[in-house]
This record gives sequence, structure tokens and C-alpha cells, in this order.
Amino acid sequence: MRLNFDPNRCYSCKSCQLICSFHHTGAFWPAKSSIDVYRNQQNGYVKWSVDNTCDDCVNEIETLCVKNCVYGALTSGVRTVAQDREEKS
Amino acid sequence: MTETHSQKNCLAGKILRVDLTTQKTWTEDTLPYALKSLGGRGINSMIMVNEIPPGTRWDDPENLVCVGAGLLSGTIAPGACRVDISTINVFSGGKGSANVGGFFGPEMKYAGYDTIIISGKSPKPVYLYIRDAVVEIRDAAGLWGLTTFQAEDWLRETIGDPQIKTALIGPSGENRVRGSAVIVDASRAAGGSGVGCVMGDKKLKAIAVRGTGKIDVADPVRFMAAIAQCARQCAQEPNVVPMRKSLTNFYSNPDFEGWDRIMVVRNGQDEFWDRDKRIELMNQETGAPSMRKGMRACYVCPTGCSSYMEIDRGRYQGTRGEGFWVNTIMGHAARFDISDPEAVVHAWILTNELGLDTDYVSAGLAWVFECFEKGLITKADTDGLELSWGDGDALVEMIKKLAYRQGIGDLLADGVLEAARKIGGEAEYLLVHMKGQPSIEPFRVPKGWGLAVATSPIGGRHLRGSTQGSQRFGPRPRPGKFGATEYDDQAEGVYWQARTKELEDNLGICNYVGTWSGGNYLTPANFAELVSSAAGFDVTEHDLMDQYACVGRNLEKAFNTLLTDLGRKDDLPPERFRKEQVRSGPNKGFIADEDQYNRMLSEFYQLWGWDRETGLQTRSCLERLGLNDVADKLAARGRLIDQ
Repeated sequence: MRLNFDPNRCYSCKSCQLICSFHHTGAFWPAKSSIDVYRNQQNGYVKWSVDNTCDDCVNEIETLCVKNCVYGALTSGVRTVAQDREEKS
Repeated sequence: MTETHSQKNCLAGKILRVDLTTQKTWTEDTLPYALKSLGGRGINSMIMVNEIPPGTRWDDPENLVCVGAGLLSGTIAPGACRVDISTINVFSGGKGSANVGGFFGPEMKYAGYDTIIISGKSPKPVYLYIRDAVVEIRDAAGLWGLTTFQAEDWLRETIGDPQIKTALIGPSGENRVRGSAVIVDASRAAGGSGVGCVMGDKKLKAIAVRGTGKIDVADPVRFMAAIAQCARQCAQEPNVVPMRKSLTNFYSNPDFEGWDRIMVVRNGQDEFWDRDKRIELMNQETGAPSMRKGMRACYVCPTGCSSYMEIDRGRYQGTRGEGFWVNTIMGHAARFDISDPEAVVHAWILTNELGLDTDYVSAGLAWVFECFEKGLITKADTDGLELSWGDGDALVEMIKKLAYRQGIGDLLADGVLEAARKIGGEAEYLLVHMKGQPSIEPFRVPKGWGLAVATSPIGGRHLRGSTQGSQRFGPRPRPGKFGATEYDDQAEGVYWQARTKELEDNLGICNYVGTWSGGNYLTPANFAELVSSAAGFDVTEHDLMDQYACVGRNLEKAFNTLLTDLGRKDDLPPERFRKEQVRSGPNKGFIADEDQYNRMLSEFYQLWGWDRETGLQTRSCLERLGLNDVADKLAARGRLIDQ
């Protein structure tokens, strides 16, 4: 996978997670997404992670999670391992 | 419209029924309801009209709590996260409804349920646990008494799943305080109509849901093309950029037009707030915006309007949570004349934490402050509290008293209108309410706004067609005169906006994405394409606006007519605003002129196809919408115009 995540830009809307599941299954199915987003509304804590089922959006014209992140928190990068990023606002 | 009978649609497919008296649960198919009223509030309203008989009170076991996710919730339709909670309105005895975003609605659908209908009453505190097909009514002894924040933590820890989504009540709802909210995901409130009070009456502390299923769409290629079109409109909309930094930032400019359009000051004594107070509350360096530590979005929302707040100084240091809105400025600040940003932010988050409705707190307690000012109550009634305008600490103490029914809070908890009648004198005149529900809304300056609030079937609130006081927002091209302070041509705009809002609440799309305010970049044409491609119902914009939206509003109106005596007089602005002029500022002298409001009402009723004189529904209107059975019910009660 080639994703960079910027926690300071993330609004934790989870669009990345949902569109990823659509890529994998053709349905909106968060449980089948490569991406997981956890958010605690009380303390502002957000955790974003992608697992090894990410296939770099093979057969898609664009990387869907990057394309669908309107907040600019995701960019295509050069990482090649599963990522786990946290923030505490 | 035609139904294509697609194998796949964006419904979860089932309505979950829960009877707390018998402890039984069962399901039924959603599709027959969705074909008539789409989803969300539409389905809730249909079930309430069908199943709650006239004569039922909000605290009867026959009352239902209906939790309806929007038709498009669970898909990636922008902002499609909303869920409607409907029940009998504890204030009016008619239709109650409160709408909320967050993550709960989509999670319901991933668990397999479009709607949850709760009937009966539990003898002891319980919570409803849902994980896909597993539905359990569980003992809530460990939950009862906890604040909304504590309760969410308790559920996540006890269930052992940090991703659980919750809709729950705080101590306020447990204590059957009338103005109690249902708090979703710890920071968002389904506020109005006393929905949290009804949950508390049923001894239902919480609904905790986790879903691992999927939502399909009928035509994925067409649907994703519709999503791409929505994304283009979002990207081209200049209003989106400031929304992502919070709409409230506009108010950091003390000359922003909103200040002189929608702010009601000192419980309605004026509609002009001093410039130095505006600056103290909203300046970026030391005001409330300086406590904004980040921005958040609801599920799949490109607008991202939610402020995450932390107070890092002063006597309320450590307070933190989501939520600082224009309503905060209208309610906890201007209405009490409180410009202390720390007190306002703390009071707002405390209101959520205790599970109170913010509008009820603002309008109800501001009235108490004025009763104190006028000598109708004294320190002997307030346990020694001095309720002076501008005193944020006094507001904080009163919020606690209200939620826990302490001292005067006990009197207020059973309804502020009832309290006013007990206090007597001019107390009832000073209380600003619509159909019994305390209201923070302006009526004297923005007339289209006021007309919509006055005619709202749920007792006030501005999200039932209020046309914006601002020219920044609203539909393009504008039907009628949006944003006007005159009476002419207002009804047409309100009629249009009420129908688009009806659609948004049925589809689950937030109005800050849709047609109302804020981002304001989708149109009914977008809705039609999204519904057609996702649900497989082949609908046009015309079908949505002239059929489905009208079905929803007419069901709510009919429910009111069947269960209450509400009539035309209840669609007029509060008496105080018809008698007292705005005292100062650029709108000095403005008043809610009763004759002019009556003229707007007649126009408004006619646009809906209702009787111009009485406002009652007509047989021809209801039959055109296929609501013949509803017409027959109204006729049996003698409250249908047979034309």
C-alpha cells in the first residue's frame, strides 16, 4: 500500500473506509474495508489504520480512499507496510 | 413514479420491533413502507399515524419511540448519516420528532435495520443491545444514573467493543424532565419534542448497536456517477470552505448580518445584542473560537462542520467535547446576555452531558431569569441563586437543578408552560413557546423564518422550512423572497424549503449538505438521481417534491389533528412577539404583526392544499397523495374539510 495519512487534516468522516469496502465488494460494507477509523467523540481521539488487505486499488483508475478524502488527509505515498496513526486533539 | 422491483436496493430490509412490556422482539419488511414514504421520519410518521390511536398520551405504554435511519444512510451519499427519532410530543401531545447525525443511523443499517420501533414500558431500567441479528433487552442497573458521557464509556467497556454506536439518555431523561434529548455518539442531540423524556418514561436508558453487514445499491455504476456529480458540486461551492472551519466563525465579525437577523436577547426583550458582547464571546484570540481544538465530520460528510472544543483555562478548565453551533450563540449566550465564552461553552457541553435539549434549556431557563428579574420568583425559590442577566455561572447551576429536579428544577421539569401557570401573573405571557414547547426562535425580524417555526408540526424549531435570514445561503434560484424581513412572498419559499427538508430527513441527508444552509450544494435533482440509482425507485425531482415530501408533512399534520386540538391559532407567533416591538438596533420597531402573519398563514395553507381559513387538511389533498385512509380517520374525528 502507498498511503500517507495526516492526522491533523482528518475529520474522521470514514469516507475512506466506506469507499474502500465498495472497491472490495461492490457494496457499502465497512466490515470488509482495509481501513479502520476509530473516533472518540468525548476526547477528540482519532485512530486511523490500514491493513494488509489493501491492494492499492488494483483495477481502479484512482486510489479511491485518496480521491474520496475531501479533507486532504490521505495522499498517495511510498509506504509499503501496514500503517497505524493516532492523534489526540 | 414507478417501482423497478430491483433485487437490490439501499434498504437494510427490516424494521425491528421491540416491546418493552412483553420483552419480545420481531421484524417486518421495510420495503412496503419505503415505497410510500422513503425512510427516516417518513416511515416513522406513517407508523405513528397507523398505530397510535387518538387519546394516547406521551406516557402511555401505547406510545411508540420510532428510530428511523434515512433511506440513503449507509451508502456514501454525502452527509447521509441522519436518523429521526419520533414519538408523541411531550409538549403538544401531537407529533414529536428530533433529527440527529453522527454514526448511529448507518450502524443500524449495517446491523440490518432501517427502523427500530419501541413500544410498551419496562418495569426496570434496561438497554437495548443489537449486534446484527442478535437483539437483547438487557438490564441497565449499572447504567442508570450515569451521564451521557459516562454511559457511553460504560457501554463500550461492558460490551467490549469500542466501535459500538449509542443513542442514550442522561439523568435528565431518566428523571422525565420534559425537555430531554436523546444523545447520539456522546456529542449529538436528537433534541426536541422531549424524545429523551419518553425514553426515560419507558425506562429505556440506551440503544447500543453494532452492525457488520452491508448496504447494496440498485445500480452501482449510476449511483457512483451521481456521487461524482455531488462531489463536483461540493468542490465548486464557496460556502463549503468556511463551513469546514465552523459556520460560527462568521460571528467573529461583529458586523456579520446574522447578528441582526436571528438573535433573540434576554428572553425576547430585544433582538439586538451589544457589539462589545459579540466581540467578547466570539473573538478569535480569547473568545469561544479559541477553544476550538479541531474540526470533525459526521459519517461520510464532506461539509465537516462540527467543532471539537476544549477549555484549557479558567474555572471550567478540562471541559471538552464536540459541539459549538450558531444555536449556542442564539441560545446559551444571547438569550441570557452571557458573553463569557468559558461559561457558554461549558454550559453547552454540560447540557449534552446531562442529556438535556439545548433549546429547552435556553428558552426555558431564560424565561426563569426574566421571572427573577421581574420579581415573579425570588432567591427563596432558587435556593439562593441570583439569576442575573449575563451570569453564566448561574446558568450552569440552573442546568444541574433542571436535570436532577433539584429545588426549582423540579417545578420546571414537568414543563415550563405548566410552571408558568403555577407561578401566575405575567409569567405565562413572558414564556416564549410554540405549541407548548419553549422556543429560542426569532419571529419579529426574519418573517419567512418565523412563518416556518410557527407552522412547524412539532412545536417550533427552525428546521421545518425556515428561510434563511442570510443571502449567503439558500436555493438558487430562490422561490419566493428568501432572507426577507417583509411579509410578501414568504410562504412560497417556506413551502419549498419545508418540502426539501422533509426529503432530507427521509433520505437521511444533512441540511448542511442539502438545501438549507451551510454547505448547501445539493438539490432535489441530486436527491432524485441518488434515490433512483440507490433504491431502484424510479423517481423524478417532481415526484419527490410533490408526492413524497407532501406525504411526510401531511402525515405529521394529520397526527396532530387526530391527537390534539391544535389549530390555526397555534400557528401564530408567540403572543409576546405580537405585542412587543424590538427595542433597539437596526430592527428597532419590528414586531410580528398578527394580521400580516395571518395573511402568510392563509397563503401557506393554500400552497399545501389545506383549507385557507382553518388550516385543516382537505380530502382532495390527501387522496391525491394516496392517503385515503388518513382522510377517513380525520373525517371520523370531524376534522377534515370535505372538498
